[in-house]
Amino acid sequence: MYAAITGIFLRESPLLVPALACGMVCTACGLLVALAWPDELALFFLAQPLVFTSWEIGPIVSLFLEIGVLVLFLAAQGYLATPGDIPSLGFFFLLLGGLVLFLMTSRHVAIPLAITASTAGLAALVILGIASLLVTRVAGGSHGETKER
Amino acid sequence: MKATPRSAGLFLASLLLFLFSWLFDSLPALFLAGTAAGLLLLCAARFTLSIRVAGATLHVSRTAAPFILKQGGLVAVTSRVILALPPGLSARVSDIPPPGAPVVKGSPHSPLLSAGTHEIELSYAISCLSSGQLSFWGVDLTLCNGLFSLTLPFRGKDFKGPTLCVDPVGRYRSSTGPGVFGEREVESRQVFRGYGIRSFREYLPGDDTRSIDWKLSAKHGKLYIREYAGLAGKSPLLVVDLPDGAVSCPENLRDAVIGAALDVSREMCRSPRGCSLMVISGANLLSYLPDERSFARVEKVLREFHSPRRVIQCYRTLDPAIAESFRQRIEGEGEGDTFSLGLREIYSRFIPAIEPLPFEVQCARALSRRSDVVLHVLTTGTGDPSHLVLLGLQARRRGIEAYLGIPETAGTASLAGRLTGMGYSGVKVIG
Repeated sequence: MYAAITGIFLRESPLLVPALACGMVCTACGLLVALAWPDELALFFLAQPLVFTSWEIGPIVSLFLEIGVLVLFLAAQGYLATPGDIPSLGFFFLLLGGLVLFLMTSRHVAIPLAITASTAGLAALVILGIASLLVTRVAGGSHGETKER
Repeated sequence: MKATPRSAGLFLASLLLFLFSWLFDSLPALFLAGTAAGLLLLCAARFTLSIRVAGATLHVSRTAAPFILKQGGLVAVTSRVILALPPGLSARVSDIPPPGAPVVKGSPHSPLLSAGTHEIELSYAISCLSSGQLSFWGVDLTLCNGLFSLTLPFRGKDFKGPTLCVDPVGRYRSSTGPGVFGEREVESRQVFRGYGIRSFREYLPGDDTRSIDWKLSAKHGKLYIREYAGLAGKSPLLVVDLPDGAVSCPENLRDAVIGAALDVSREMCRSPRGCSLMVISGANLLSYLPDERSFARVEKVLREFHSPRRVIQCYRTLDPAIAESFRQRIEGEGEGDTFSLGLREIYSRFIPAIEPLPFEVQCARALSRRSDVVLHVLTTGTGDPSHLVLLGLQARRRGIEAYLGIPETAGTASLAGRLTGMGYSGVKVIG
């Protein structure tokens, strides 16, 4: 489907043939994975070249395609099982939108790369810190005991 | 938090895309890299929140039977676990047995549990190879989703119960008779009320009617009575000498002595005379239980003083009589020698000033309580043996037989040599 969308938008561009070829290869690989060994992450990876090529059409198209892929992936992971997950997901998509807007206004990757990588690193540290705190201060649960002689 | 191969793949893809975007100045690659990194972080954040929720729902109820047992005994453990898992999360619960108690039957691990509320029962058996008070280590809750896994160690005191009381194994037996301290069945004109039957004879006026064997009497048409054989021997006084808790002592020696004391006192408590027990640590009397019938009380005392602190320390303490014999020996040997003269002078001045230790007075009282006492001292044989010498001498002065029980690994031969002639009739090995 993504290959078809890319094809429609790139019909007068010299990138049409490579984009279609890439789409066909990815679709074939995706079908193969889905039928032989279904794995959500593998399918997510297979969709990434199409998102990459769709950037040539427009970053917004690319953003929406990526959001679509992400929603499917997270739903398959069971992340949208409760309504409580929707706000965090919305916040994540807003961040992605912000990143796309920031990239659209940038000419080179140096500054966005530094900002994105450092933000991701900091967030990873915070999450790992919370997880470590959870392990060292396990306070949840309750316990009862019975003795029998 | 541990990464699974899938999250490692996602991280690697993100890293490669960052590198690609930097090398080729590619904005779409940077967008994809940011997306992959963000997805990884989103999943990690959600996983952290989910494990917090799952951990709070864990409820464990553990049953162990028996909880008082001997070293090497089997304990059947049943743990009932209640756990509610949020969607997208799976878990495995592992019950951690006490240290030195391997699992010999069943499994303390649950199968992989999927999302939802679960009530499972883990049944397994452990063999307690360590002795003492053994507590369970707790419960491990391993949670995982497709991308991450984390083990929450529940080690609070609420998850450690019940405590198992494992008695050390030790054996102190005499090989001369079936009794604990070598009592033998004897035939005597004295009337015994024992369990063994020596013979049958015809009833005579004055015989106790309770001794009539009704089965034999019915068979022969005449009254027959049983003549009993009973256990004859002296009343044992068991002395348990425990090493100083402040000084390092191999645990197997301490355990062997306590195990032997528990083994012997258990049988003594069943006997009509009860168990006379004295717990000492060096020249410190810690507890004295005369004619105790309750094994629980004996057990409590032995556990309470497992690692005592010695208030009074003895080092080469001399009894006045021994000191006097030393002085006399010096008088006979070194005539004119200034060292001998000086030593003799020291002995002469110090011997009248030697006061008996409170321990000696206490031992004298305990030994003079009964006339037919036999002393059995169980000791690790570590440290200074002055108190053992004092105890042996007290026994000898009262004409009391005294035996020493030492663990096999405690250098029995050298200690036995040192204590020979100090009032002990023999040294037995604690197995």
